[in-house]
Amino acid sequence: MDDPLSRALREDEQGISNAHENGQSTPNVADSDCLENASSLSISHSHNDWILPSTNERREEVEVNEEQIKIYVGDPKKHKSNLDSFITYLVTTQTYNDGVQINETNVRRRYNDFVWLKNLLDVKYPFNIISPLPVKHTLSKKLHVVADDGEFIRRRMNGELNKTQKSELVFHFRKCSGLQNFLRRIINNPVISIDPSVQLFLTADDEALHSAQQQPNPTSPLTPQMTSSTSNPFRQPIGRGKPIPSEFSRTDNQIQTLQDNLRKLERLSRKIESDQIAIHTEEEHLLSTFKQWLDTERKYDENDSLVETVCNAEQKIVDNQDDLLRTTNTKYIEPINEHVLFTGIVQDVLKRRAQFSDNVTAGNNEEMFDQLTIANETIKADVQRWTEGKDKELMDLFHSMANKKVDFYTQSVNAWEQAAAKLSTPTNQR
Amino acid sequence: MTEEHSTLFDQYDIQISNTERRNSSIAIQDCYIVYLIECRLKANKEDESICVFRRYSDFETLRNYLVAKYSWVIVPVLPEKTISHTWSKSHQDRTSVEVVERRRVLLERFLQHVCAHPTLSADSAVQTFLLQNDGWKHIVDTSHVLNKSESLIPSFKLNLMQHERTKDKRFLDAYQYAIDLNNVLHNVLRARAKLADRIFLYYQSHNQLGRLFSEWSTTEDKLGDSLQRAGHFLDSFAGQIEEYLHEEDALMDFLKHQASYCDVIKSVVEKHEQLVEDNSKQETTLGVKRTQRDAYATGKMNFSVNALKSKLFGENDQTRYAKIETMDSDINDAVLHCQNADIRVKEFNKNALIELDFYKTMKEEQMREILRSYCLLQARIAKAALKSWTNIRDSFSSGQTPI
Repeated sequence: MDDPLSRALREDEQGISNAHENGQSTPNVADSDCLENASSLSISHSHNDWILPSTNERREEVEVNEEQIKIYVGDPKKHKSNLDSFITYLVTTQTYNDGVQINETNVRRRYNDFVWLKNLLDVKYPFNIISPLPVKHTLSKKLHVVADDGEFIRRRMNGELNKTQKSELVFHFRKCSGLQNFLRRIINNPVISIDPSVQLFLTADDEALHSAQQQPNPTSPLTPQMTSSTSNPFRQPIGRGKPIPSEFSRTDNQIQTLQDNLRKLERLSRKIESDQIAIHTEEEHLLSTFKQWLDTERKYDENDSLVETVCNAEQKIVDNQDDLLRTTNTKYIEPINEHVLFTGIVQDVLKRRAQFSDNVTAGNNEEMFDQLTIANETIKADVQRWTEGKDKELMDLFHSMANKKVDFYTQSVNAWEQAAAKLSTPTNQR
Repeated sequence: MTEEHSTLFDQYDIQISNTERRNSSIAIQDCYIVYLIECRLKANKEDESICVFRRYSDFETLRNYLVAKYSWVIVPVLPEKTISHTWSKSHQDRTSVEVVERRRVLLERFLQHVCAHPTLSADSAVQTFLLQNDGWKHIVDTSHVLNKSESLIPSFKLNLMQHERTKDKRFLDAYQYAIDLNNVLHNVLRARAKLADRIFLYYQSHNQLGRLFSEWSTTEDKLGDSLQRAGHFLDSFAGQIEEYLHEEDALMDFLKHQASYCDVIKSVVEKHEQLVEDNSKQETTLGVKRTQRDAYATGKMNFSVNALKSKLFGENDQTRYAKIETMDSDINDAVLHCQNADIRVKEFNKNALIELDFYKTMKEEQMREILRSYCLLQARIAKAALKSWTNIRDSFSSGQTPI
């Protein structure tokens, strides 16, 4: 839902903030339209009464953006200096026009650069939903990864591979997809994608980026009395215990339910994964007993073809399970976790808005009231966009997961049927 | 009653067609199961079949009798009375329908194997067991082999501790193979039982997932339909496994059945060893007796206690000759014993080796069948899962283009 006034106000604010950032972004048609609207409309005190037209024109713009820019993150590389070591990721931005690639830029970014961008955007757009970043490589996370990969790691302990190296590598490859999702979502947001700092992040060389990072954080569009209280007010649990204003209480409830469900899903998925790992261990154990059997048959020159057939089939199952397990965590559980984080961010945005609205009522200041309207509309638009994106992403997630299982079971059926066919025809191997 | 060269199995269709629960007293736990054995002449299909009821303990008695009487035969084994290698959901109750059914199948197999065996099927006790209501017990009782064999068992076990392993490589190999195979099969069974537990838990988790999806679907607009359908399919996915696992249980029973043959082989080999040892013992006593006699006859008894004794008591020639004579006849007896024992060992070996070959062919056939059914079952499980997951996948792909 959208309405001309608030949209106008929001665009208005964007114009202001653009001006504040030396107007680097190119103003578009929607921008100017809205500016006109803004001047011709008065502010109403009851937001709920507004009848809102659809946001078609803006959504077209979104799609255009989506079509034109593709972002890939990959190729983690370790850098070592005397003081510390860090990982950089290759960020590739490809620009397409009518399906033709017209530009490609490659930059290497550290994880801290991503954090910088995220913090910057958080402050600058307190009422936009900014994608979460994958968790920083901390010891606890590392331990977690080791625990997750317990089965793989344990087998590697038996010799061949350096355990920590391997787990680190696994971890960084995993982080790539998280970082890529982060950038993709930012690009998909029409407001944020044109922010100069995003452009800087995607294209600038290291020095330009570093000089940008040296500058103090831009001031938030919120009132100074809010920002001055703490250095980073938005990370604080704010508005605790205060009732959410009625127009967002439904959204808030929905988000809460969704978060609960996603949490449950994550927990359950982890449980299923550990069940799967347990099955894998037992299956391997069974395979080893079958192999023992095979050895026994061979030792006494018995006919070993029977057991051998079963052994081979079992081996295939174990191998396939291995593949399936390897992808489960990165491709399924971590995305779910990302969505859980996402709902948390949405909740933060709503809380911020609630506090802001409290301030407005207390101050009864017209300029602040304009800002509240802008905030409302930004939130509405972003929540809608986010819901759509979430639906699609979850859909794809479940689909690809089920597809993996389908592949796995297809292979299993084949393996067992081949084995059964082999066993049904008596062979004279002895 | 029967022709020389055709076994009961050739003449009759033998099956256990029914089971019945009977109570020996009012208390429920006192109930027992009887099995209805039905024998029908193959040649004459119109004839009425012969039906007898037998309890599990009857089978046991018959088998003990056969083992005692035909020590060289690898007597087919009965299903185990206790249930082992179970997982959490397997049927623990001895008298539950599934367990009785599994036992019925194995008992039927036992009868068929006994009847297909040339030596065993010719036994009068077996024939009366199958074809007459009573009477078989009388034959078993009057044969007296049972009591004897029972008393022999502890001595067997004691001897085993000390005596050397047989020198005969064929028996030695069979013995080792039986031990190894038994171990390996039990390992497989244990691993399978654990795996079954894990698989069951895994499917149970999907049941929870299905529930979550169904609940979640009520609060979603676009995803709702997909979630609900997926939840439904997840439920059916989770529900199907238990039945399959019970089927797998039944298959594993067959494998366990095969494993228990190993014990039979071991005991046959042990009997062989026992006989060989008896033989060698008798040969040594014979040797001892011979040297004694020779020493006595030639009068070289200066160094022995006996010689001293005879000198002290004033032995005359007459008593001396008489003594030598008794010793001679003793030796003759012992020689005869030795020869008999030798013949017995040879006979036993010959028969037992034939039996071992017989067993090997049987085992291979059975193993093939078991393993093949196992593969087929796994394929079916995978197929069912495949169907469920295809449905789940499809419920998420309607109108959507996957990545």
